[in-house]
Amino acid sequence: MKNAHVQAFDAFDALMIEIIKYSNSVPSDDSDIRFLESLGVNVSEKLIEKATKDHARFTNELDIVKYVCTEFWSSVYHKQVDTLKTNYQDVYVLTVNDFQPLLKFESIPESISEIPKHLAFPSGLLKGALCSLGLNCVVAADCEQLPTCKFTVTVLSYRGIS
Amino acid sequence: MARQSRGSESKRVTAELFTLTYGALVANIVRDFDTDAEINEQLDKIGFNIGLKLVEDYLARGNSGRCNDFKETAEAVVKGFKIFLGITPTICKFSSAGDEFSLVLENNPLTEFVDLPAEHQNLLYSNVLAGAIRGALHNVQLEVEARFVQDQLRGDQINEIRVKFIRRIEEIIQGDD
Repeated sequence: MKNAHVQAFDAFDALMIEIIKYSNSVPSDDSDIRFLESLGVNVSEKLIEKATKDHARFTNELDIVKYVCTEFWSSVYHKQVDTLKTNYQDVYVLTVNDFQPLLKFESIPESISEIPKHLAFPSGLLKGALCSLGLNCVVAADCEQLPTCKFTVTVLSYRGIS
Repeated sequence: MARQSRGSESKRVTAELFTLTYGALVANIVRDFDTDAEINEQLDKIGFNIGLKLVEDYLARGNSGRCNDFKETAEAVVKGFKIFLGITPTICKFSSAGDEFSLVLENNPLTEFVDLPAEHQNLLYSNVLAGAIRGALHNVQLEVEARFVQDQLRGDQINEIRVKFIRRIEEIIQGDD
């Protein structure tokens, strides 16, 4: 357990908390998780479009993943992904230590069942960013030890250099 | 761990991230509710809860939660907008009694990419901001009414939020004029 201290968050963090509450409160065609993930995809597609407008063309699949783990991820969560591992075929595993949306669960363990909802939007962000850059993929998130999160990206197809 | 300090680029992206995420949420709320009045109420409620949380961060940064009068309150609200959204509204139209003022946003970052659909002419797209003001002030013991009275999305020249003091909560606290 860390020393207690005020964990700063910004307007986006506060908005995300309300979005998760909203997804609980209103019946929707989607499940809660799917709803939250679709928001993440929607948002990151727009962010990537703007962020990469003047960016040099990505040379390969790994180049795309690295960009998303560094510049893209830090523009949203204020720090880069901590580790990136790959089997050099179709799987990338991203680890984020001290993931901001999970920090509060260290002191409120009884709401631990809510964790998947807090990982759905960032999973959607990753999926939307990678797909926008030509990497069609699925993203699975899990949290084995708070507040570390692991995102597993499985590439389905690569559009390559257009 | 300390949060990485934010450069101007990070702040810009953060405001943009908020704008895009909010837009995606509004699109869903518009689908989920039947009337613009219900949509506006939902946005206000979400904003209220956001305001409750953000004022805690505002205070944690060393800002005072105690204002001697409503003019100081107006200045504190403007400071909050600057910290959290990177915009600086103008304070104007103070009532002679000093219990009401307007905030004018000449540019509203939330609506940068937004056009109001014809079937939603009564939608207050940025109603989350009015709710956030109420929520933030509620958490420092002020009850206020906050509402959009002009909205550029509806064809007005500016965006104007009118803020009216209702009462101080827990009036048992004395000594403050």
